[in-house]
Amino acid sequence: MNILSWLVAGVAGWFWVDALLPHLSAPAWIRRSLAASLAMVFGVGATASLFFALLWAGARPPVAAWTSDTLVLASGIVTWLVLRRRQPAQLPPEPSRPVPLAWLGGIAAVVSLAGFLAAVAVVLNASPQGDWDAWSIWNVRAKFLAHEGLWRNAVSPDLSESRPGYPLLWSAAVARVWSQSGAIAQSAPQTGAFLMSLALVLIFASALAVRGGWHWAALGAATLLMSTPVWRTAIRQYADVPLTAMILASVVSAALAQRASWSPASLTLSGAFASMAAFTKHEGLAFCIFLAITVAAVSRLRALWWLAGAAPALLLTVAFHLFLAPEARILRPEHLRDAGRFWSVAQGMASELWQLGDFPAHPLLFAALLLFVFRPARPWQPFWLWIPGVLLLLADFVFLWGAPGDASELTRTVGDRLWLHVLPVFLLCIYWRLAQAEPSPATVPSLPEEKSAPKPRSAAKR
Amino acid sequence: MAVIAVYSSLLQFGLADRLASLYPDPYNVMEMQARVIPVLDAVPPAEPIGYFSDVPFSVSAGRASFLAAQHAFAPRILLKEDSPSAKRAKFWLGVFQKQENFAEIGAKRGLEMERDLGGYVVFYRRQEAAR
Repeated sequence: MNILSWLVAGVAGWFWVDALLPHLSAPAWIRRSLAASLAMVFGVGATASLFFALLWAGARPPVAAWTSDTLVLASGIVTWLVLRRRQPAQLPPEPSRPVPLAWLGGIAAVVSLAGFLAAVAVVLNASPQGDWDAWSIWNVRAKFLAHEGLWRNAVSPDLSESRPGYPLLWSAAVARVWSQSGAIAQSAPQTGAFLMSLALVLIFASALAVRGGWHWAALGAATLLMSTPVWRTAIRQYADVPLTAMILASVVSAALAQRASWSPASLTLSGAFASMAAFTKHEGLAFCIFLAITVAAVSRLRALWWLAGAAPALLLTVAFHLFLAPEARILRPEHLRDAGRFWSVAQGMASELWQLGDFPAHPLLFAALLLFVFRPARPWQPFWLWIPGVLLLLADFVFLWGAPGDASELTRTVGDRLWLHVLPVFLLCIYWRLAQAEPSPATVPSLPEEKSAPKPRSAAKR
Repeated sequence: MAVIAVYSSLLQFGLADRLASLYPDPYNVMEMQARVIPVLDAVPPAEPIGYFSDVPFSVSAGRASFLAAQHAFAPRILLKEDSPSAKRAKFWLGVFQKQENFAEIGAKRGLEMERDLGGYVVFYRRQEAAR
């Protein structure tokens, strides 16, 4: 039942995602993989948010759980039926840059993914309780939500050591599964952690495959899986993995919206993902605000579609902070005047950046090497996709600088996770740029399309 | 690149596997859950539980044992001894570092020892509640 509940959420999310994503000119397996991974994240986020809203409205946990599933599924089917009748926004095909010896990248990606999933399964099986934050914050608060009449304990000031001010999406996602199964079993958060880890890698790889084909997806996935925080955080059952998946999903949807002439449906989807991130962790709320500002700056009035998608979960998040979350002092102004703390955080974040991989297998080192080899023009383009992630890192830095407690210890504890939140987005931006074929400047004006079209197989043999 | 990527994933898998076999439950969370099962039904779900320990809360082990007990007793809220709302707790949990006269330690706080849960974890009841 625990596994089934997660999958039901994924099915409910599929109708929404399939209705709102623009039509991709990519092979069917790439489209299905992208839709399925986005649907998993969307379904879990939507059902969990609605489950919590219904609890707050007074529903019993099992009623809230089944009602939230039914509502998300039914509204998804209606949206799918209505929107699929129209001509969906089309994404024009883009030629991709060939990759020499691409099959080697394919083998590396398959081995890395198999190793990653096996490691997650082995650790989840051996340590069902997860690591510190999993059992002391997310799962313990899920127990309150799943118990009839006691959900307010999850935001009680008496729960000061379990962060009662943190948003509740991930705890609500676990509690929803427990409420449906009727038993509090550790397999629920374990399955959720496994599926979210898989969804994160699949969103990354399939979004890359949409633009660059399987060979760039394989290279990108192998690079992402060199990142130690991806491995460490996935096996710990932390909410940072779903948060990272939501952040990545919102950026992918926004980028696809831009390519489809600012498709309103895809913008709506991006807003929904970003708002789910806002209800998962404080960093998600900061990211949601930064992405909203960026989308408003580049898409102008069409950003209203983005806001429409973000509105439901964002309103819930704002209401949560205004009416439920106990007051917490997250910044001490006197700490922001302390230059010593500034350097501690700077050194700590730099150290965590270096430790994103075990040298020489460092994801950013590999990305830099590929940039050097392929030398794409204007590698930072599209620049706007980088902005929310960069702003989030800056906000994280300010938070660590001004937070109560020892700055070095805090940075050492959470630094790798803060990098994790933005790393897939940064890697995706780099690989999208790398994957894009560039005609030589001399032939640009009259280059026929078929001459710049990809020939991955022959290129791979070269 | 492919060779390094494969090497990296094998390395990460090895680390994860070793971590899982060496430290499956480093904070004794599952152990605490198993210990408190016999007394869970004695405490109504809405009833808070007081908590005291001779392990200082300033060290990681002190925080870990408190949070592990909170995880085990949820949806009941665990209240630290120095918390103002702890006075209303009828049931208490004591976690110790070594074998002592647990009944006497409880009596000094007005608590009656209800059950020794093993592993220096003791369940108490406030004396007026016991009567």
